Amino acid sequence: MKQWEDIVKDKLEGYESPLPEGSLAEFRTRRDAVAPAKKRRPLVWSMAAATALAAGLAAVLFLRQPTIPEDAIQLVPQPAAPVAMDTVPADTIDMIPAIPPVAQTVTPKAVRIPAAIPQQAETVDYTEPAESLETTETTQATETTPTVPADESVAQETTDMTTLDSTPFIVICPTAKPVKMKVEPVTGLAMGGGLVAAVLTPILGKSERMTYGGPDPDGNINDAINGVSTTTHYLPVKAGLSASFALSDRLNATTGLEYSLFLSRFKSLSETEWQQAHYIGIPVRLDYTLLSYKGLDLYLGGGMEADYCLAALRAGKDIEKDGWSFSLLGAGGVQYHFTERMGVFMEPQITWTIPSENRVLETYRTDHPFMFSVAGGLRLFFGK
Amino acid sequence: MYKELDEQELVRYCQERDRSAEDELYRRYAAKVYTLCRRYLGDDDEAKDMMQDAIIQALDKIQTFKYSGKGSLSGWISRIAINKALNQIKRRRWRTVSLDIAGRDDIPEPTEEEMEAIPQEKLLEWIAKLSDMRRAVFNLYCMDGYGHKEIGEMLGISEKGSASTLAKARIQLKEEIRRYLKEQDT
Repeated sequence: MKQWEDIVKDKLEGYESPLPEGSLAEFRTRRDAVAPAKKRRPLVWSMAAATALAAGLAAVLFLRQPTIPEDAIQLVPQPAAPVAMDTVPADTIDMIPAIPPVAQTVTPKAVRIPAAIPQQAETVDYTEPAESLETTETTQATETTPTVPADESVAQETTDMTTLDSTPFIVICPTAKPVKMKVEPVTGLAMGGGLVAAVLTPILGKSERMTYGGPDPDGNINDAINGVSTTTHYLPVKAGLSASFALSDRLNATTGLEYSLFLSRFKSLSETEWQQAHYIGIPVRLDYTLLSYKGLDLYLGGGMEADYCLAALRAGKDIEKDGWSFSLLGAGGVQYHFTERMGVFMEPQITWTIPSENRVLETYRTDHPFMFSVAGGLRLFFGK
Repeated sequence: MYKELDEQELVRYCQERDRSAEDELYRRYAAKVYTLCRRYLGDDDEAKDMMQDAIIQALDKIQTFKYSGKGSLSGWISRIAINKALNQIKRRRWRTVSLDIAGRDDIPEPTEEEMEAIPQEKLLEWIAKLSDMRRAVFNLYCMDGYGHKEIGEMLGISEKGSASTLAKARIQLKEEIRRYLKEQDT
C-alpha cells in the first residue's frame, strides 16, 4: 500500500502548473538583457580597473605631500637690505648692522643653486662673515652679468633663485645634507590597487605644512623661534549608517548619516596642540552596481553631501565651529549583505568641497578641497 | 523545426547560442521548473522569477552540460532550480521566526483513494503554506529523494533537525488534507 506522501509525489511529479501569461516574452527580455551584459563584461571590468586605478592614483596624489624633515629647519641669518654698491661709500660698509638669525626652511630650490650658477657657489666662503661683502659683490655681479640662459623660463627661475639665495649667510656648508623629500609609502598602495590604498589611506594620509615667524614691524624677532610651527592635517576617519533604496536591479538611491573626525596637529618648537573637528554628514547618492556575487557587490556612485560641524576642540577647549558645508561626492566601493536587508560597506570616496565662508576651521579639507577618503559602516537595504 | 529536435540536438543548438533553440528549451521545461519553484518557494511571483533565473543560468552554462541520456537535461535544469531555491530560502531564513511547535500526530493517514481525489493545485497550495524550512525539507525528502544527512548539509541543519522538521511538515499537511476531505464530505 502506498504512503500518502508517495501519492503526493506521483501526482506532482508529472504535473506542470500553467505558466503565467507573457512569461515567454519576459524570459526573452531578461535573456536579451543578460546576453549583451556578457559582451559588456570587459567594459565592466575595465570600469572596475579604472576605478581601482583612479583610487590608487588619488591616494598617490593626495598622500604625496612632501614634508620637511626636522633637520631641514635651519637658523638663517638674514641678509642686509640690498644696497647698490656703487652708491655706498666703502667706509660705511662696516656700519651695516648685523641682522639676527631667523628660523627658515631650506627649500629644495636652494639646492639647485650650484647647478644653475656653479661658479658662484664655489666662490662663496661662508665661514668668514667678514668676507660676506665680497660675496655680496659677487652675487650682485652675477645678477648684472649677462649670463642668463636664452630660455626664458630657465632664466626666470635662475633669477628667482639668485634673489632668494643670494645671501652669503645661508647655511649650505659642505657638511649640510641635501634636503630630502619625505614621501609617504604609497608606491605599494598604488600597485595594490584602489581598495588597498583606500583602506590604508586614513592610516597614512596627512598633509603637512610649515610656517615660520619673521621680524615684527620694529624689526624685532625675539619670538621667531616660537613662531616656527608645523601644521599637520590628517585624513578624516569616517563611519556611518547608510540606507540604500533599490530603484532597479542595479540602481540604488543611497543616503544616511556619516560621522567624520578631522584631526589636525599644530606643532611649534615649544608645544603641540591637537584639534578635533567632529562632523555629521548626510550624503545623497545614486549608486550603480557593477558586479554582484554571493552577497558581495561592487558599485560606483555619485551625488552630494551636506556636512554639519557638531563640535570643534583645540587643546581640549571648544573653539568656533564650522557651519554647514556642501560637497560633491563620488564613491566606489564594496558592500557585503550578511542578511537580505543588512550589510556592511567600505568605500573610497572622492569629494570636492564647495568653497564657503561657513567654514572657519583649518582641516585637511582646507588644504585639499578635492579630498580622497574612505568611509565604512553599516548599510540597510530597502526596496527590491 | 525546433519542436522535432531531440534533447541532445536541442542542447547542441543551444550551445551554438541559437535563440530559437533557447525559446524551444524554455517552452519544453519552463512549466516543470515553474512547478518545482512553486513547491520550494510557496510564492507564485517569486517562483516565476526563480524559474526564469534558473533557465537563463542553465543557458549561460550550457557549454558545460554533458548529455547523458534522455531526461538528463531536464534533471540538470531542475537541480539548478533547486539550488537557487534553497539559496533563496537560506538567505531569507533570518526573517522567518517560527515557533515550530509540533502538533499532535494522532491524525489518521489519508488513504490512497482519498489522496487520488485531491487536485494537484490543492497539494501545491498546502505545501506553500508550510514554513520555508518545513517546505524545503518535505520537498527534498518526499519529492526529490534526498536523505536527512544530505538535507542537513544542504540547509545547514542537523540530521535530527531535518527529521523533526519533516515530521512537523507531515502533521501540518495531514491536517490540511483532513480539513479538505471533511469539507468535501459536508
